[in-house]
Amino acid sequence: MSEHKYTGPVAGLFQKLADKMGKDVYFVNFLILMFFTFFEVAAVYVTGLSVNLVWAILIGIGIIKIYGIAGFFMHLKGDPIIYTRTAIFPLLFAALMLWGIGLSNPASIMDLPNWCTPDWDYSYVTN
Amino acid sequence: MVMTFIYGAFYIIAGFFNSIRPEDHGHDDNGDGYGDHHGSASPILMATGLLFFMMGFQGFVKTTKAMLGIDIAADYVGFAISCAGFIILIIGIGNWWREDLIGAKEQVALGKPFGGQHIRKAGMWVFLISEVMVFASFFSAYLRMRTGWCTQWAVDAGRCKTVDTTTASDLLRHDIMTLLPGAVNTFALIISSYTIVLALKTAKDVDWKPSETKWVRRLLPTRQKAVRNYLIATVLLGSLFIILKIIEWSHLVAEGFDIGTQAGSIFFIATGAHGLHVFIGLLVMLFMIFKADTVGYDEKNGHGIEYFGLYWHFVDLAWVAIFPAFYLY
Repeated sequence: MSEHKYTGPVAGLFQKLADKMGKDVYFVNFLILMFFTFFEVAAVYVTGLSVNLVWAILIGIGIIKIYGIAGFFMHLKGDPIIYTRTAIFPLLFAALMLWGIGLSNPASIMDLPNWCTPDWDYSYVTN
Repeated sequence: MVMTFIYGAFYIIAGFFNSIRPEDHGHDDNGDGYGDHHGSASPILMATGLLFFMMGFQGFVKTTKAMLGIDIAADYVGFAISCAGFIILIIGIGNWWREDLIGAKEQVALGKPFGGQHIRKAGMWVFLISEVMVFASFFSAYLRMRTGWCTQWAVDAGRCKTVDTTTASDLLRHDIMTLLPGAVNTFALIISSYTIVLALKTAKDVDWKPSETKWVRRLLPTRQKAVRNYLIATVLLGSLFIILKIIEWSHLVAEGFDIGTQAGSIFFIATGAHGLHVFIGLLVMLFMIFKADTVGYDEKNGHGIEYFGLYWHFVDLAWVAIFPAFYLY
């Protein structure tokens, strides 16, 4: 971990905020993570939102938090690119697992669209 | 099976002897002031110990139950294998900690793709890859089951008519008091991620000076004590996580939501595996506090905090996914 100035559209914004506050970028990241966690919990209690909208909010906030933790706390933004590649590599397999196993339930009551459900042969289910 | 054991034995023996062999001098000197680096036998010892511990674990459970008077046949062979594995594991951990206290040069990777990078850091990232896969398997299993359940969410969304499965979130998210442990835990992990960043930052800051604010100066009087106290804060927050987890689980079990149901099984396995990661992190941090208080962390050996921090941040990352999926959804 080395102290350096972050650049780029998002990381640069973090850096600008940090410079404005007279703090380091980790502190700004910490505040942003705390804020979005409040928002995350609150979203579930707001009435009148559809299930899909709540899900979209939760996923959106999750992505922001993952960016903050992996990018700044785990220092992927400042480390050589090989570490980012190493971090992304298993996500491919994780995505395959989520698609191939997670979304392959033949008895799904969620009526998942065909494009996201694997076309497996489910004969083993009855056999 | 025989081939597996042969390969396993080969790797254990060859790995052990390779690890204790002195390295060529000078080829990875990164000028950090320590003496010649060492090959460490600790990883192979710990892996071997864990292998034997798990191999005999079933026998360990049976024999322990038999000793407690439960009507079950003891398996002394499995018990012995498991105990031997545990002893090897403890020796490996002890050796690792001893070596870490003595200190050694950071070994630098020579080949692609991590050429020029510290081997321990690259190793930690590769380890985290495997961790991602562990949690991905929990999530894919959960998603598969969840899409088949008629939960309150599915009913509200008009996708089915009668609730057939109660999830943990059904029992937790409707009342602020029942959701509170999970919510507080989320904040505790994020704050602990920041405190370990502060510990690392302080350790590496050669120009560190005590704060001018009186109460901060009392808490963090010197660089060495500041690092130690940040680590203590991290341990306290991690301990809070475990305590709240136990409270929350007790509530769920009292509500009749236990591991015997499909929803309970995936919930307790996923959150339990995460809790186990937190617990292991706490054990490692106890050692780090000891080291911070005795040997001390500075700009030369602060890498230890950085690499452990990667693990701790990953635990936080996993919670970022677990909390909404299991508590809010």
